[in-house]
Amino acid sequence: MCLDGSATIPYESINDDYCDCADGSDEPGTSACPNGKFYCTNAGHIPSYISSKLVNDGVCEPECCDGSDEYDGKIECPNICEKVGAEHRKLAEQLAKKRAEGARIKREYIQHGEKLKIQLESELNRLKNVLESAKIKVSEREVALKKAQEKEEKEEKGKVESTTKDQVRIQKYREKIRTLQEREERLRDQVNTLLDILKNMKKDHNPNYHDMAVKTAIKGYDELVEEYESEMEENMEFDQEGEIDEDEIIEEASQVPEIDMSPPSLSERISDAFLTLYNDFLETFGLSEYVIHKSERQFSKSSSGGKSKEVIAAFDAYDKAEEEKKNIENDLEEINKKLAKDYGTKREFAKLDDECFNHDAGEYTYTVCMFGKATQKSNKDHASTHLGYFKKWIGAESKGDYKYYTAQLYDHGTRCWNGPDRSVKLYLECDTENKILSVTEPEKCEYIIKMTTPAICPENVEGNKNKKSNHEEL
Amino acid sequence: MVVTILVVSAVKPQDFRTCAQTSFCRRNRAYADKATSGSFISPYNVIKDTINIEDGIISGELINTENRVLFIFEIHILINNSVRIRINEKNPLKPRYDRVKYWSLIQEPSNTLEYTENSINGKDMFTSLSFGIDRNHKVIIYHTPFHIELLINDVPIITFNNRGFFNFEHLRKKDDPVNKPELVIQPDINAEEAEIQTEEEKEEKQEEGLWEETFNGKIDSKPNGPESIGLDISFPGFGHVYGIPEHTTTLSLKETRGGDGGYNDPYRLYNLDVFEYDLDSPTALYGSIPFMLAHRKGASAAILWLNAAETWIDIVKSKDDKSFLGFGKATPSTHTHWFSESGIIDVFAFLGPTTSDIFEQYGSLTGFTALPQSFAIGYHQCRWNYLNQRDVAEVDAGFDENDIPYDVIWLDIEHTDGKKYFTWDKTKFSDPEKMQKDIGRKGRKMVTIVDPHVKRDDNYYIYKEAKDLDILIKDKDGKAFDGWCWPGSSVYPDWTNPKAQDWFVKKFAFDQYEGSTEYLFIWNDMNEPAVFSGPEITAPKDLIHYEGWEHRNLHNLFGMAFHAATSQGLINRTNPNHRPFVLSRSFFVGSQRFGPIWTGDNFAKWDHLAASSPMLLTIGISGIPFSGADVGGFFGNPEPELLVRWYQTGAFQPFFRGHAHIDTKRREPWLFGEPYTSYIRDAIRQRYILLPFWYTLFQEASTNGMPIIRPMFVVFPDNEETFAMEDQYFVGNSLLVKPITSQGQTSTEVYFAGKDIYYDYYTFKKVQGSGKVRVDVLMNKIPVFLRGGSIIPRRQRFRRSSLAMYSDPFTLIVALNKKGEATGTLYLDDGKSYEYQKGHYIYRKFNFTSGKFTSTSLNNDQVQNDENNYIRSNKFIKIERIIILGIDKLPKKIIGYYNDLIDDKKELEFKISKDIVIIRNPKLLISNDWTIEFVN
Repeated sequence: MCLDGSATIPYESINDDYCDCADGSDEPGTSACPNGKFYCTNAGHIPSYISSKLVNDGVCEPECCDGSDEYDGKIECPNICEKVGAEHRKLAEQLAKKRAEGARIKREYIQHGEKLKIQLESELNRLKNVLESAKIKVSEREVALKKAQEKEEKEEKGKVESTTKDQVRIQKYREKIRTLQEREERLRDQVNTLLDILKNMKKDHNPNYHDMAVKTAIKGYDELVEEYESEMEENMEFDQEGEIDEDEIIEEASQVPEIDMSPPSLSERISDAFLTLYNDFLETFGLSEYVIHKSERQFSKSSSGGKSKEVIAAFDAYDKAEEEKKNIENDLEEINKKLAKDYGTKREFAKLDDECFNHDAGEYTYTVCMFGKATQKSNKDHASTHLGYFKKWIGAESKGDYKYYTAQLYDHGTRCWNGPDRSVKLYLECDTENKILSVTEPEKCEYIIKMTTPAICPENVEGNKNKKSNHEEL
Repeated sequence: MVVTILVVSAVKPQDFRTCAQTSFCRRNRAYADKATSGSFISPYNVIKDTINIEDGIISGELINTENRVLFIFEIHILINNSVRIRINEKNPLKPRYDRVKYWSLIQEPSNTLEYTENSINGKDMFTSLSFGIDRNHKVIIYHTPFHIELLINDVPIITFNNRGFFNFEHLRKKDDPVNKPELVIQPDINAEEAEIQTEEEKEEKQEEGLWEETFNGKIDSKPNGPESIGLDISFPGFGHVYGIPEHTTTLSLKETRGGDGGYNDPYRLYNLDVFEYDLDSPTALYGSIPFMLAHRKGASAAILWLNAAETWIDIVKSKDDKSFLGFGKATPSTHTHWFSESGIIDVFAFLGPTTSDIFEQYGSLTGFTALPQSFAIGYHQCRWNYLNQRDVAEVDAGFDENDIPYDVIWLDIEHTDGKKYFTWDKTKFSDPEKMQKDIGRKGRKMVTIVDPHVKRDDNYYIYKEAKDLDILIKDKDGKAFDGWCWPGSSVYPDWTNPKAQDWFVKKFAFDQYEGSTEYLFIWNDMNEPAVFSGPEITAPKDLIHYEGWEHRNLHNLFGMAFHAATSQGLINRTNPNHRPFVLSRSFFVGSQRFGPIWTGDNFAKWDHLAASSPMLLTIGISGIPFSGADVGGFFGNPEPELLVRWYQTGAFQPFFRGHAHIDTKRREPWLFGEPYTSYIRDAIRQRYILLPFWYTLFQEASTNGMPIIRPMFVVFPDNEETFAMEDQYFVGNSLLVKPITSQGQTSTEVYFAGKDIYYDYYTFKKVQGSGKVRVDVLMNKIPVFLRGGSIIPRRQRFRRSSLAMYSDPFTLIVALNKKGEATGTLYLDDGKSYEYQKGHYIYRKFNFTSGKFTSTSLNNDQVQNDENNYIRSNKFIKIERIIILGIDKLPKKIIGYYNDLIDDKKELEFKISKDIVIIRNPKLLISNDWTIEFVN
């Protein structure tokens, strides 16, 4: 009778090297059944079952240290159970030690995490109080400022004439120049960003793609760089004449008769045209999100000329109070963020927050700052590539699963040419040290980092030992 | 005046030359146009009194009556029903390239003496000779103008220069005014709009490209000027021609001079590394075999145009060709026009009369496929790139964990130290020997890549040795040619130089190739050669090779020369020798002797899966039966359904390897989860179950040249409906395979030819109906059918590699035909050494007829059974199961006995379900003669 009751077979059919039972139970000693199990006694070590398909296949199975899986004479498998058993016991001992030590450290981490939480909470409460008084201060100073302004307005009505047209103009120029300088700086930043992008494209592009668009872009870049460099040389000479003195220009400007400010200057027109092109380029290459926000920054800060000393003082006082308030708010936000961070079931990972770990992998050094960001640095030219910010735990679907806190995802790193944003999956293993074991890139721009940490060691060593030690490390 | 308008369809037409951008192609096409117009008469005449017939060779001289240049022609009547035609200049300025034969032919073919000179009528006008044992073959050489006809039973089969396209550009000096080539102008097909050319423009066009050509800014210096050769070859009465790989075209080749569904450019043979190639195109790819097979009901014929220079082939068909006797009606004929940039005319004609005769004739000349080691036909797992030793171990373990068998794991270029082949990136592969032994311990193998370019790096021993030996290809100025490939600046050893061959062969010795073991085999890529900085991404034509020959003469055989050296290197590294395994991307006439080839960088797209069948069928009938396409598609990410379908198809193609580009997502068979993992597992297991059947087919291919996967027309040569069929095919003559190549398919039409019975391969159910039958399609398998009359040997135990199945018992599937008969063969040997050549193998013939099933030996008499090493060490391999399909009368009793123990008859256990009889564990030994009788 087959074990599953599916058929009755004669006694001679057992182990006759022909599979009769659907469940494979008639051939425990041969390879005839695809789903059969072969029993290895492994005297001196732990007995085991191996799949029937490993019987008499010409390979000595490590799981069958007594060599009983190969008996058709094709190959001689020695009995190595004594040695294997001894090694196994030694390893198991080491593992148990490691786990015990890991668990001890983890308990420290947990304590640290809890202490930190309490500290943060009390700091949070303190700051909330401080914020209240800061808010009051701000509103008081606001009132004072208003008063000073009203007073000034009244006084000024009488002497409108005294403000010359020239002063207005100078003020306008001053603003204009500042805006232009800021703008130039901004554009310079953007050009550098662009040059970096192109430089990386040149460096990283795949020559196997005989892609004319890319090749043309690289050629264009090379020409541009050459031109740019020769221009820089010329500019150097120009720059040596010294820094432009804003006041000097204003001085000169005041001698100049009125200028019509309304139509855009040539340089403005050029840069507008450039900006359009530039934005198109960013759009085409999908880079907008990296760069565009820079151009949106607003630098203008309203201030009108000719204020009295009192007003200015009141204004400064108000500004200061406002800033204090903001700082407190920022601190609060920070603390809230930290409190909201998922440091594990017992906050055992709080200890590792912002701790950075390096791994030299030959060509590159990788750095992971836990709960922060991951980077890759070239060991040749120290060029650094952003691999991603901490996003979430990904060890399992749900928090309930004990595996949930065994892996992290870092994503939205620098985008790969012709590929996705870089990202990192960080897999954690129990050990006594926090250490990166390996970094691989199984698919382009998707990194797998393996790291040991005591923070995921099982706390209750006794309870887990038997179940895990068998197959995890052997 | 004819004006053509250019139509461009290719994705990257700018990287590769069209006919119009190739001066000798323009000239020969123009010559053909002139020859077809009105009053043209070919200027080449036989000089009558020079004709001599001796030892099976008809020789004589030709004169070009327009410029008085003389030529020598020879027509060899060969054994094996073949004819060879050679034409060269009588007094060339310098020798023309005639070395292709040394690379492609296994030996100088023998002439037959079975011929009779025909007297005499009109001896002035032609020379005629009958040959073959029955003298029913005839060659006629017409004198004025020169043309040749080959006839069987007085029906013309192949004709040469009947259309007058024969054009032999003799070598000349640049400044010699009388020696301008006789040219006609082809209208400028580059012209976007119709435009009328003036006489001056014509003149200019005529001169263009004779002594220098430029393409994409790269100059070909052409110091020898024009030297092309061209010839028309027609197959009267033949409606279909096949072969001339490698192209992404239909199995039955298309016309190439426009027309309905025809191409506008000729088929091009010029080995190139084509990036993201197009489908349905006559453009060149990685390999070239100038072999063409013509087939019609009742006859097959073929030609080999033995030339390794750039070659183009025009094909046109005529419906109503009155110029040939007996085919006056609507019988179609196929007319081809072959032209090569340099060299001589050296053409072989194979007169069949059947396709299998032709495969034998071609194979006897160029070599049969080498019998591979048995692991080579298992499943191969490749990716650009497995990252490091740990990755390799994990992928290897993944197969075991998921219960999927495989034989070989591959490492692409990233395993090397800076793309220096024969080295290891030690940060990733710190102990390659241990890695290979870990893989090898399980009966598996590894493959590393070795490309033909060599990094220019004085600290690299391969570079230094090659430089010191002075075996590098030179540029036209005599400096070592510097080209750009994976390592950056590289040199290219000249594989056509015997010194380079000798040197390179030694580089595979275990003490030379550091970190190599007996488990390691090799992969040759980029051997077209690919030169990123070169014209058309390959080597400039004016490079200088061994003995001063220009690259243009031998371009198409260059990759094969590298393949040959690598293959020999692997043979020599062990004593006694083991069979090599070297995969190559580039190929030429004769590559089958060195290892399998694959179809290069395909795409993870449904249409590329569909294209793999006609491509591999074409390569198979052109002498290279061992070929495959990257399973899953090289570029891009296949959706799981496509990947599953690709595995299911790949399992029924000769070379079975999954491969992927470095930018693609991982796609090892288990990564898509269920149900896909199970589907893929099933597909790969089907391959392993059938390995004995495949191996037997490989052995037979290595002795008779039969392709392993066969087009329908090869199996049903008299069924015209099958002649253009390419979406279904046979493995051997027994398994009919219909790949599923579109998404979401739930049924498909299968053509069941003839009056045979077919059985579903999986369920053993008889197919109802014949001709076109619609069959259901499930996701877990593609339709496969057993043809009645065949017996298939299988090994049904699931193991993790082919080696692990080494001594497993056999299951025989006996699929009876209408007469209740079936036959089959089984070949077995040690799967590794050359012992089989000394007779150490098992070769069985199974025969089922009149209720009697026998196994008899097909071994030759080299060794007796008791001295047969293979039999001696595998005595106990047995038959564990016999399944008989389609039996008429169900047996009451089944009796089995060994033929030499006829008194010791045993009753065998069996089971009947419907009309299927399963004999349970007969325990008959595979090596012995036995008989099974069915008693009603």
